Amino acid sequence: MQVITCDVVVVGGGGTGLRAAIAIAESDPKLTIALVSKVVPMRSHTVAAEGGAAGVIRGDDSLDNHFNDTVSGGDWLCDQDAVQYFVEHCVEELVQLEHWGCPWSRKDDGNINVRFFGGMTVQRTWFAADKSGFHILHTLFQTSIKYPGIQRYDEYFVADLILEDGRVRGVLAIEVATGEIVLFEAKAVILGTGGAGRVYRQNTNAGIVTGDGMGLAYRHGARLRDMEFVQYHPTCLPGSGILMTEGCRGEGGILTNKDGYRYLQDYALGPLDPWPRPKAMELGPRDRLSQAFWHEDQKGNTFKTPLGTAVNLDLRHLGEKKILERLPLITEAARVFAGVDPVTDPIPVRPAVHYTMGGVYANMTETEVPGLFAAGECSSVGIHGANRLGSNSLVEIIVFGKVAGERAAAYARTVPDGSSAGVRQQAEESASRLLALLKNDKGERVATLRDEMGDAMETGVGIYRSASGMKTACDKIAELRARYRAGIALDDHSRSFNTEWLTTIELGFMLEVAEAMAHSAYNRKESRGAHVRLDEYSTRDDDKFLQHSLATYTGEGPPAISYQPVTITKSQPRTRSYGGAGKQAVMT
Amino acid sequence: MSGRFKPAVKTYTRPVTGTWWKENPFFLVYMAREATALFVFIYALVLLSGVISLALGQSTYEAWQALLTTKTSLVFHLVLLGLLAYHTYTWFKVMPKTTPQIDVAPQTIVKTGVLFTAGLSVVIVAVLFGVTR
Amino acid sequence: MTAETETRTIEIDVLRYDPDSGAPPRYQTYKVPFQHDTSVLVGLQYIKDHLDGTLTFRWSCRMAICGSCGTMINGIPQLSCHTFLRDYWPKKLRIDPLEHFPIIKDLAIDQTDFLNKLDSVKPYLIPKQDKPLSEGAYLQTPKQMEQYYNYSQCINCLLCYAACPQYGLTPTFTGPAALALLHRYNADSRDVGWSARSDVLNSEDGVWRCTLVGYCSEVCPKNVDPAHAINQNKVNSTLDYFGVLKLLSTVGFGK
Repeated sequence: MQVITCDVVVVGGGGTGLRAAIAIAESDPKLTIALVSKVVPMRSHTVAAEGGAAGVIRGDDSLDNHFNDTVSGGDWLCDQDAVQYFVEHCVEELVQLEHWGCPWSRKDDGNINVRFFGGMTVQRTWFAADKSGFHILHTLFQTSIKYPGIQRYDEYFVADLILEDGRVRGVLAIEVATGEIVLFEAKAVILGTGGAGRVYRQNTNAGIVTGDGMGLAYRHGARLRDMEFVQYHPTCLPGSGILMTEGCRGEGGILTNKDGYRYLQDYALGPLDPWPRPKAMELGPRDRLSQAFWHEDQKGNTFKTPLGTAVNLDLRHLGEKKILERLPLITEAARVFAGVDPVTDPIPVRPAVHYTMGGVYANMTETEVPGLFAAGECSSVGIHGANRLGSNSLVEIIVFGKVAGERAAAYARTVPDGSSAGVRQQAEESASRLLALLKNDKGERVATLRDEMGDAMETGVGIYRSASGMKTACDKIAELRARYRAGIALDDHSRSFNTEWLTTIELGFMLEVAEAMAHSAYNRKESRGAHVRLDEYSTRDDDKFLQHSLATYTGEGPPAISYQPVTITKSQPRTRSYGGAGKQAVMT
Repeated sequence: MSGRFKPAVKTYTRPVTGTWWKENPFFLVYMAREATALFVFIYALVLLSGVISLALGQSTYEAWQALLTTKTSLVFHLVLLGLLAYHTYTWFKVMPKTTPQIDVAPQTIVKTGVLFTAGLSVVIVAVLFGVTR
Repeated sequence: MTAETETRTIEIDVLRYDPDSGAPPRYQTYKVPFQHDTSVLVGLQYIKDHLDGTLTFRWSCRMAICGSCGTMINGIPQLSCHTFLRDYWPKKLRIDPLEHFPIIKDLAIDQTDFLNKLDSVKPYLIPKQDKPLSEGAYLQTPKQMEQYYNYSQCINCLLCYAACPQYGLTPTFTGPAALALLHRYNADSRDVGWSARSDVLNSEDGVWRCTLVGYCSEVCPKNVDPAHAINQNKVNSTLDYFGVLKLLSTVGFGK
């Protein structure tokens, strides 16, 4: 087995991983960094983020506004110390990206422009047209090239973590092109592996968003926190789930049902006028908008498309010039993938899974495993609570990516050099388990289990939930895990570029992450943020559940669910309200 | 090219065939552009031969002139005119790719170039017509 | 049944290459059911999921922004997620790996050559001097942004390399995407890195290897115009050779 020794391994080449790697290189150029990613970094899912990134720069905005919008948006399940750190560091990180070349959209005078997003008191979203994630990722990727300390291992699939004496010692990866198994021995490991949206059937996520990092950490004793909170984005193309950015509504787009009626006014987001108005109607938060869709669907107010029911996202009144200038990507996507031109027709949309608020529990990116750090969507540092505010995730990856890099660098300097026979031994054992998967030719096809998992999660742990539905999902996932253990039959038993093998390993992670989601949801006997129940627990219960859930891995059995208090500093839980009276805003 | 990333070991490289340009209409048009440049060269030779014949004396020059007025020569010139006109057009067609980033639509650059050349040609022909009459 | 939900079947020939056997590539035919909205990528996924798990190809975002799924579809470089089976039926469809790149397996090509070339063009901002974060963002007017914005849209999908006969004939050519990104930074008002990048740009394998076939710009799924980036720099390269560019750059030429 090939062994590569370095100081820090960064797993994942998206925004988080790249920002972390640059932070390590800048904090100590002598440290050796291995940036290990299952795809070449610019393919990472950060690339698909559209709308933008929040940072307070307007005179009529304040850090307190950002703090309060975030905490109330998260239905008070946010750790407020983390949120405070976060809002204080957004702008400097966004400026840093600008200094690295990110083409943020500007006002005519050359200053940065900002747009509205859902749940925001004041315009706060920095945007690069509707390709913000794309530009952030490419800026970070291209900037990372100038740091010689960052050794890239593109298309290396990390399949296991190696721990010894309770601390992390490295990762085991498969070089995709050759199928060779490589041990990266390191003093610290950073997970920047993104979310797990692919455990659902219909989602906005890229094929690579399979919860690998969450699964890796979870199996090795790090707990997964707040996994029941899965965000449905309200405006996605039926069938494919391709995202129509919240920026559409931030620029003034409206949602209408089959009768052309702006139905959000019926769901505590009205009144209609004056329009536009912050935190009202289409500028409400994602959880509320997705829930409103569900009700409209139940009432029969949606219309049928060949790929599911939908409502209209109507941009026509914005005019061709603004649509093409501010929303070029979704215009093109609507034209190609839905056959609809947003300039002349409304876009049919419905909710689809978009984001996992939960993740590996991390205190300022430090997980419960010494030497293991996590940031970005795979982590739960506590800023999203029960519902993430749009525009917060693109800043999260850079703010906490940097923190993870700096903390991992500091930690690595405290760890002595030296390899261990035990680590090599473990790596060999892990490698033989991986190779056993590769050789198996009896059992079910990987796609069969994957599809059944997606359907079970969609049905049981969707926008609205009930005890019986969630129980069914828990049982189904347990059954799928048993079938997975019984064997996945591969057609391809070769080593080189065996994506069937890698998909099978990913499915293993996904099933465990899905199980943590389903059980965390089943045990949360209240409704909060994106976790809304139709049974007797349809309201928020701060007495019992103003707490983070924690899922602990137990091997073949279901996860053990426990709870942990939420850190509250200055914002006491209140009723979370949107809509109502307010001043008309001017869209910039 | 050397660099920090090492190529994959067991790969298959497809050969580039000598007929690659036949496989895509876009490449055929490209080859037509390149090939017609040859005729610019050929016409330059025709003009050069005229200059040389002039240097060799009046009788040679008159023979050259007579050669130009034969039927074959006229057909040859007509064909050459067509090819040269096409080549001139392709020259303007790629012009937008060579200008700095300016606020003019590519089609406008092409049209202006073609019209300017056509206009200039007319003027030259008119002047020559006037001078030789 | 309406045209939108009707299921039809199309035959797809896919070039297969198995690095373990090392035998020359051959075509394999699959019959794939499809509907109105089925992309070529979804067709390939159908094969992988249900017919033949050994078929290997790259994909990720499904929405034409990650740049993973470039292939030759009936001989034309395209993103498979962005191309639909309905447009080829009832004829057969032929899928090859991207032209001019070595094949690792089936449709997966070796992209390391591009990664090295990307390194070589120094695709990052080289500012006059480091600007402290506390000073905030640079001013850059929409007009200044226009100078480079188009070239910053490159998703590195490599379709332009597959479209470039010069790259096929002379693989040392730096190529369309890398040179477009080189120009993207040169044209940025915040950047002063011309001289750091000029060796690559001016060299024979830089802009001068290009013969302006122009097909790179035709196939680009993001409407980047690499041919324009390269060919306007032939002028700049010439001016640089005669020392004129330095004079012009002091008055902000090209920014």
